[in-house]
Amino acid sequence: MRESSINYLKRHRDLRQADILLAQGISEDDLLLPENEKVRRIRRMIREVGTEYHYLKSFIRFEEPRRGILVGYASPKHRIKQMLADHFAHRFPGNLIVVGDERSFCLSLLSERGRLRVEVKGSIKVLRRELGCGGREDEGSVLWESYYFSQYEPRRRNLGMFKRRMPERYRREVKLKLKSTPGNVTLDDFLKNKEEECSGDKDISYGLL
Amino acid sequence: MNGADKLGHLSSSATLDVELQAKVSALGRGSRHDVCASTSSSRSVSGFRRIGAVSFPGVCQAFTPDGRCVSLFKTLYTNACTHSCYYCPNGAMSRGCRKYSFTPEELAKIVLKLYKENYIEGLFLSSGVGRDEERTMEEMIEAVELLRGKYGFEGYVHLKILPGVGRDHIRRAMELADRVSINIETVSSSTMGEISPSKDYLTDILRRQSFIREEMRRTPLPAGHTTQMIVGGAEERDLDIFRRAVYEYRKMGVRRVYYSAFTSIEGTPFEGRESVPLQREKRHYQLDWLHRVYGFSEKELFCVFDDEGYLPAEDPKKRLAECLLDGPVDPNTASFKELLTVPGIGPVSAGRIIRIRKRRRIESPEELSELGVALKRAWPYLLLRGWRQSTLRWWGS
Repeated sequence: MRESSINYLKRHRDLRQADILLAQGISEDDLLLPENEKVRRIRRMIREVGTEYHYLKSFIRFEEPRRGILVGYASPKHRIKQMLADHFAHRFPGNLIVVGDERSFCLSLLSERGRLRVEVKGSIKVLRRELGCGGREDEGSVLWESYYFSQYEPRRRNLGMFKRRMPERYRREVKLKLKSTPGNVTLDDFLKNKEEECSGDKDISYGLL
Repeated sequence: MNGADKLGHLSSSATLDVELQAKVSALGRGSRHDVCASTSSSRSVSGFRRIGAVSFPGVCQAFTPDGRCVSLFKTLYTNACTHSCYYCPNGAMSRGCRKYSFTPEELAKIVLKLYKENYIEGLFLSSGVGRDEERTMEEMIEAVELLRGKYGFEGYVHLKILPGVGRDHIRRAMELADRVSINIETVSSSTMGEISPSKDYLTDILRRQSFIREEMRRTPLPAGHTTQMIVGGAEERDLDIFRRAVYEYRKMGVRRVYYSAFTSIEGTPFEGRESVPLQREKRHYQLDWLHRVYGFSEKELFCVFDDEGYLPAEDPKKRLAECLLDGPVDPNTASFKELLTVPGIGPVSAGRIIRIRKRRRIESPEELSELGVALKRAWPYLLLRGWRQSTLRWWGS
């Protein structure tokens, strides 16, 4: 089996030692049509971790409270916080990447002097507060909301597709929220209202002004 | 000091400049009919003094409520334009659209800000031609030069080539970007005259594409070059669109042709015309997929059109299967090409079927489903253990 598949399997929250032993004895082709429920379980676990990792690489958002420190909230079901931090450490060398949730967070740094990888038990909220997150860096979030809604084409409205592709459980990572709207209209309100109201371009600005 | 250290705040006030928000919104809106959202690039990235990298395909930082992927900061550099494209809200003959323009530095900073916070995977920069296409193209290039040079940005960049710009600008754009594109918009000089009389189809568009193709021998583009056509903008038939797309793939060497159904926009000379149904656009994507990904030839695909040269209201692959298959396909013995002809079986599931049957026979529809076959569509065309569904009208009972 591919190393990446084994790696995903090892990070599944329900992993048992027997799963690893079984996985070491089978090939990728065995996963195509599993012979029994145990192999089917291995396939399901690999897919679940892979899907979550794929989603969160896209949906995680960072703040930069201090130069060279990027802090992102992510609360994955599986043990992939370090993988996520490493992914962004490669993307932003010289920056300390912090990824985690209320239970723990992982740090990753890739620089000319070497590599740092640390897992810390504790809440990222405390760290965010200490670093002064939530200030000016919201600039990016406000700007992105302006941009995001400019890309919406009312004629192509397809909320079913939107909900399938952007599962609700990741909305917190994505920070999709219309904070600047009078009355704090949320994305869900926006989507609900759009069902009746968005028939033309003018309506797009409704949620932003 | 790396690029990030040089990046200041986007506005001097405590809250983000409202004018800047309006600009981002207006210029973003002006580009939303450009369909390409691909971020996949073969460029390799290394070193420590940089911001960003190119990433895996299929990444989408968000989806809009229309279900489309938002992975790039897709924007116009300016929405000022002297061309008189009848369908475009930015055109010289359209009314009521306030004109905005970025500066290179401003645009570069916005891209870096959004990229570092992981809102986007890169930049897709298009533009109206402003007062002069050469000057506007220069400024677009300057913005990307700032990103690549001053800020060390190594993320994905798709740069639009403006119609009619000089070869030097095209070459420089290709050195900087992962992908470049110029939209052909329509199928011929005469249809171009119907929708955008100020553009010369041969000189402004096709000759620029030829420059790109020639320059690619010297400056290979990591993500190739692409183009886009408006479906139903003029009176062209689906067959004309398909033939032009095949020409683009074969002669111009484009990586992808994108399609966008004509949408009537208020304030444009075409505001009274009826928008083209999105289904028609979808049929072109399905057909394009059959040609580009599945490898069916132009000749094989001619049979999916009706006598007037239009696509059917159903999936073109159903029509293709009726043309090419003599009878039901046995997944245990069929060739890769035969499997690909069956609706509901794509290259991935066909590949899996070939792999698995080297080990054992496929015994049930459920197994096919597990291999990724869309069984509801495929089952009428399959023969499994001597059994088949008998509802297929052209094979009889």
